Amino acid sequence: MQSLKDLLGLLLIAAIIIFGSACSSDDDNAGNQNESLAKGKYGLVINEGGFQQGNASLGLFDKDTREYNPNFFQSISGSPLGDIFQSIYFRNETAYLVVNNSSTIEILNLNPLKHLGSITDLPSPRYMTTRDGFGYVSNLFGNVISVVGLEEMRVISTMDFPGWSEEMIWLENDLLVSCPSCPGLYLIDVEAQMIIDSVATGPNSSFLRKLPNGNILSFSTGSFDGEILPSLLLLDEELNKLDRREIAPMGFIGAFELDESQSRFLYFDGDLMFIEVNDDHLSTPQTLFNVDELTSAYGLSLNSNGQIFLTNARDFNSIGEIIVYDKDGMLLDRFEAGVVPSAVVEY
Amino acid sequence: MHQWQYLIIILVLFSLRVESQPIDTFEIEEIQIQTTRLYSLISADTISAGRKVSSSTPLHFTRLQLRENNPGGITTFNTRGTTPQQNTIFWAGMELNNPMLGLADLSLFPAYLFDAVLLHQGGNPNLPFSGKPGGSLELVTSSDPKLADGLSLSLSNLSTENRNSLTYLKSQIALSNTSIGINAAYSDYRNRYKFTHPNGTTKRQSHGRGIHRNSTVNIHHQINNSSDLTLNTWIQNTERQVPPTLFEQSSSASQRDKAIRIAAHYRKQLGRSLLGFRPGFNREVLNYSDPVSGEFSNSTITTRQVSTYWTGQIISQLPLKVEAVWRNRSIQTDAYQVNPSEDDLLLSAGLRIADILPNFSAAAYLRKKYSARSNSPLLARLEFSIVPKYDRKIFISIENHHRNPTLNDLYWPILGNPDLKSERGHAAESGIRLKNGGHGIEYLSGKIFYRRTDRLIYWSNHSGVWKPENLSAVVAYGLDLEAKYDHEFNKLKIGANLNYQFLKTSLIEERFPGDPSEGKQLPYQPEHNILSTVSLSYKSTVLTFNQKWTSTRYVSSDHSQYLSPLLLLSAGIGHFFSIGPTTWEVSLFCDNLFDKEFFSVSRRPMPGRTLGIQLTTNLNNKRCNH
Repeated sequence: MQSLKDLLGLLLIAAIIIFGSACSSDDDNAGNQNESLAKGKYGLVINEGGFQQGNASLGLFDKDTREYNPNFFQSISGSPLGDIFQSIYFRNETAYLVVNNSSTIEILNLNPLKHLGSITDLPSPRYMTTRDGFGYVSNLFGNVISVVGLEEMRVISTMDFPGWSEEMIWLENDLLVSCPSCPGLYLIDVEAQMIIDSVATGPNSSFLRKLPNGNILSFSTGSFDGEILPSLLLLDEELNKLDRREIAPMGFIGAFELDESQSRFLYFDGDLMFIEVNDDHLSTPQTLFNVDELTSAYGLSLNSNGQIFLTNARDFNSIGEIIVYDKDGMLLDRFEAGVVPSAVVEY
Repeated sequence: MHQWQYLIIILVLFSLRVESQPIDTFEIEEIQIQTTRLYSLISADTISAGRKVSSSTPLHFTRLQLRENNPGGITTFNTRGTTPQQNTIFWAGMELNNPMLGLADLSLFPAYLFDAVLLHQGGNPNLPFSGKPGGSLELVTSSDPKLADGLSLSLSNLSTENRNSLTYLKSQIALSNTSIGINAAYSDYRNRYKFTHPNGTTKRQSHGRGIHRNSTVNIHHQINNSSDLTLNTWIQNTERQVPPTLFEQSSSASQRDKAIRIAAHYRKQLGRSLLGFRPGFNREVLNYSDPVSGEFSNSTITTRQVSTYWTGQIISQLPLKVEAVWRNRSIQTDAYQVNPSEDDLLLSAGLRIADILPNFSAAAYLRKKYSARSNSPLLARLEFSIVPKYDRKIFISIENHHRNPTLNDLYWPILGNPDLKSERGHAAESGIRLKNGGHGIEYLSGKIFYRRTDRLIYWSNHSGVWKPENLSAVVAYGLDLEAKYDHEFNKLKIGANLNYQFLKTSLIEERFPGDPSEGKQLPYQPEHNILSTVSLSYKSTVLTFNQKWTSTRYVSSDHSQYLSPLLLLSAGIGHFFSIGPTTWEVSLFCDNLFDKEFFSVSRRPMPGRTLGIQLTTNLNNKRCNH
């Protein structure tokens, strides 16, 4: 009889272990389901997410109420965004969310709010631009620029490229593309699908902007070992060099952007620095304002009011934060965003 | 060729082989080296006993914390809150961790081909170059000639509905004073299983194919009454696709691991002492390629090791062991701008004092590694045991530990940091073990442990650029309880193993101002872990349950991302029967009985409920030598 009690006791313990365990529960990611986004009222936060963690997200920051919706995309589409959210491209009221390691572009209509679909089978998308009903997507891998049919929402062809393609701007009907790995800028005739001109740059040339006067500004972050310094390159619209400015940084420069007037190149190097961008020359670096201790400044963005958004990615694994300054360096706000925030884009 | 065809051919071949062997041919003299060996006062935990009973990764249902990318895919392990790099795997006295990554991929090591897998916590005097903060796994091949008395063959085939299959052969034969063990395994992980995409759709697809081929040959030769020689070889060839995560469209990456390992062990008894000589060789060729990203890496890692030791007694009741180990590891790789070649010399000594006081023993081990790059600190381990009664033992150990940076930490192009220092720290453990707890309880044991490690090596990111640095310190402490139950009610035999682990492990220093991880449980380190194995045997039928419950595992250091608590249950029923000189076992099993969607590594789906069948044939024609 004692043995039977032992047996029952054992079975009871086993049952408690097996059936008494906690059950898993999924995150409740429900967000605000707005009908539409009023222009000028919001900042869209690009949270890259951790590599292969699948925790990229699009955050929505309400400038008036200072409320932050950490999963804006998921609240509309019903599913997470993916792995490594690289950039946003706006075309009218449609936002194209380029998700690098998921090899996709998610398409959101912002008025009314609706997930229109996904463009898939991209090698490793980074940035997007459009012209005449076609989308052009740069890629980290594959040595191609993907051509997307915007109506069809799919890749319809590719253009060969000599390496990693990054940011793109239009020079009339030709596409100027930065190549961090080549390194240089390459001008592509998109109709003929061939490279028609190129300019050498420093290593890791990622940043590319067209200035109001037609000039072109390119920034190379330099080599990772610091042997080749970061440099800013000013070109005219014929791709002739106007000026080049090397920067001797304290550390690796990962956060940079043009200011709202597009006359200053801002970058973070322990403090917020700037270089004046004039018609034909670049100034020496100067301090815009001091920044209190910041773990890992990863992105820098500005809005049309000149407010400056610095993103702090912390350990690139945890929730990061956004720090907001006015143009004089006064701290206006700081709030927690998603994992690896990289930019705040005004809408 | 289908697996069942493969199985039939092997069965036919081996049945012919069996018939051709006269059953009375094998005799072996009872000779065995007698000496006083220097064992640790704290016994290792046997976490596997050489059988494959489910389609899970080997050692899945053990106290190891695994991070499996997919079945048969890259799987790292750790114990008691350490990082995978802080743990080591040993075979035939050689460390098998990849020196570039610093860790071992557990799925490359088919535990079922070995006689046992032991888990040692902390440094161990019989495992050269152990002494990292974590545990040491030892793949054990028995060389005891008593075990080779006759002929034994075991052939097993396992198939699952995921189209995964495993065939393995274990054989042992004795010829006069020589025993030969030949083992081979072929596994094909097709990994076709369903999973739920984050968008809510459920589909079945391949999660990365992997083909593993392993063969080992173990020869033990008794030279004379006072000396013996053991030779172990292991050839391995593994090809694996790296599966995409839930959010990747596809993955084109693949890797191949090939290895040849040879180790010998010569022992000579000199009076009451023993002299040993152990040369070893290990060459691994690793290829990784991703046609889409253009990433590739080809590396050849060659390890040569020679160890010689003496163990015996100069003074009665004072067993002593001294050992010198030389090791050269050279790397040919296109991943670095250099091809490192490093020589290490390890000197160690151990002394055990038995019964210095009534029922009280103590042992001390000292080790120091000399190397061109950096010498280790003097590593010391002290052990004490008290046996107040024959059926209970109380033990305490105290040690310091260290871990060198990996070669990737040092030599990774541009980003490597040659100024990194080794991790250092100290640990203590205490426990009690009770035998014969009554009511069928075979033993109960409880252990508490504490560990602190400083100068942790982290790859930290500065504005987008990763670089390894010595940052912060970690403290871990916890509790490890285990019970084994074995009882018989009439003809029903019940066996059960129950293990509970509690673990707290966190950083105690900020890595940077405002570090969100400080004081929080480290990622992938559950606070609670419960393991149980229950077997019910009635006549020739055995019903087995394996259960593993894991509490929340945090994926991010600030706990904003996590994997929910998980209960996994595997069940199997096996039936034994005999045909002539052979015994057969047919087993049906079901892994993940509750069909839980689970992730061992975040975003890497693992199989849901999986049915499988295993057929094992045994020929055991042993003659006992008493």
